Order: sequence, then C-alpha cells, then structure tokens
Amino acid sequence: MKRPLSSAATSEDRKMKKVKETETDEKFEKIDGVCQKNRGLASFDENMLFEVLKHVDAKTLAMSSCVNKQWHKTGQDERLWELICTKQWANTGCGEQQLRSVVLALGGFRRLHSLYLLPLSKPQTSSSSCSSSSSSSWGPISQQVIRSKPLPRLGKDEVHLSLSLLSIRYYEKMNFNNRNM
Amino acid sequence: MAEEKSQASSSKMLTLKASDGVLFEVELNIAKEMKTVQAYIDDCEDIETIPIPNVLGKHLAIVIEYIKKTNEEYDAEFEKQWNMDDLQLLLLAANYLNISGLQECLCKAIAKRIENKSPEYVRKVFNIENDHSPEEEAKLRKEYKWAFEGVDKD
Repeated sequence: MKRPLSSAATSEDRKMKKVKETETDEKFEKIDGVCQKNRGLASFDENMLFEVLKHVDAKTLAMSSCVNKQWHKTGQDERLWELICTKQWANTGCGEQQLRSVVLALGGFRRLHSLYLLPLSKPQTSSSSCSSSSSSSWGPISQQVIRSKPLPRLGKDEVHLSLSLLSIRYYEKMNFNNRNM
Repeated sequence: MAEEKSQASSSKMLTLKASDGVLFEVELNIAKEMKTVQAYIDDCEDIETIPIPNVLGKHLAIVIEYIKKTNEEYDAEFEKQWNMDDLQLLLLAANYLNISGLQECLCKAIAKRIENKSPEYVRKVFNIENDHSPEEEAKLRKEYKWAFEGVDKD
C-alpha cells in the first residue's frame, strides 16, 4: 500500500480532524494491526481506476466523480468522456485524432456530453421539470432512453449539430472576454 | 497511423481481411486469441489491417463469433463467483502479473457492479473515505444532477 497507515496513536487526531468520519473510524477497526480504512480501490492508483471507469456509462461516470477526490480527478479525464461520446455516435467522417484535437480545443468531451449530447437523448432536461412531457420533438426513442442504459447511436447530423454548438459556445465566450478588456 | 497510448491496447480495434476481401473489425483481445494474428501483431505493432488469406469471410465470421461468445460466457461465469474484495485484489494481481485479458475482464466486472450505483454505495463497497468538503460535494451533485435521476437504491 502506498498510503501511510494509521496506528492507534494517531487515531485520536483523526477523530478530531474529521468529526463526521467518527462512525466510519470505528467501523474500520484495525485488522492485523493495520488500519483497514481506504483499503480497496482507494489504494489503487489512478491508472487502475481509469481502466475500470472506461467500462461504465455516462451516468455512472458522473456519479463516480462525487465519490472522493481521486475518483473526481479520474472522472474528469477527457479520455473517458471521449470514449463515452464516441461510443454512441455514427461515423463522423473525420479522423479520430482530428476530432479529438478539435473537441479538446473547444472545451472538451465532458462539456460536449453534458451540454449537447445529453439533451439529445433526453427530452428537455434543462427547461421542463417533467421529463416525460415532450415526446414530440425527439420521438419515441428518447422515451425509452431514460430507462435503458445505453444511449442510442447518434447520427451524423446530431453529432455535427453538437460540435457546431460547442464551437459557437466557445466563440461566444471568447468575444465576451474581449469586450471586457 | 500510430494510436496514442491513451486507450489501453485491449480496447483497440483491428481489422481482419478474409480471403474474399470481407473486412471484420474486432477488438484486439479477440484477435489475439488467434495465435497467427498475434504473430502478425508482434512483428508489426502499428498494423491495423491483417490479411487472412486462407479463410473465407463467412468462415472467419463464425470463428470470430465463437471466440467472442466463449469469452463472454466464460467471463460472465467467472466474475459471478467473486465478491468485491476479491475482484479488487484479483485486479491488483492481474496488473502486477501483467495479464491484460484478465485485467480487462476484471475491470469490466467491477464496472458492472458499480453501474448506476450512488456514490454512497461505491464508498461503502470499496471502503473509500469521502474527502470532499460538504460544499464541494454539494457543488458536484448539483453539477451532475442529471446523473442521479433514476439511480439504483442503495
């Protein structure tokens, strides 16, 4: 294990510093003289966590970012979001590397997904509170998608639309900064 | 074109070309089951299309299906047996021993077990301490509000 292991002497300090963790402190009593807290994937390095998170869907990846700081850092990795974005879309007609440089320059795959790809699979997430209200714009497919895990394959048009919107957002932000200068 | 090593080699796709020109895109893992293909890859790392001059498309299709199926079935049976602690320790072992097929299988198994689960569940199952401050956590939950809809109950 890479992390320094707590001994009985420092357990008092821990309890003082992290008051909210007192319950978990007691739960993870020493086994064989070694503190069992932070056993498991927390002791994995980020590479291993990355390898596991490569196989989860967007929802799980987003929720994983809330687990702890290490998971958050890994969950922000653009490569993971690139996998999630590209998994669902049809052939864009341009090279992978080219697409990657463009999207990264314009704000990254994570933003692309949360701002533009997500709404394509769910009807009106930002505007209405009732997500089942509009089936008219996107049709029956989006209704199914809320419940089922894999997102539908997005066609070329949807992909190009999302990329265009990402560019527009980027340039809008650029102009805004210039105006203030 | 050399791929960046940003993706693990096991998820890289390879193209196999049958004798009648039919192309099959397969994962590296699957392709490596064919020792002949493995030899090709060993010789030239960057290759993306491998010719299979002795096998017709329709037969290569069946072979690939067979490999995929037996891999999937075996993996599904394999991963069922272990609890989360064992899976994690197995992953560490596979990583140390450098067995990419097993690593991939275990990563998938662990990923499957946390699919659509809340952060609380993940922390409990991996004995992870939450080192976010309440403010940080609230901010993240707000940012990823959409992900928490329809999450599995703990």
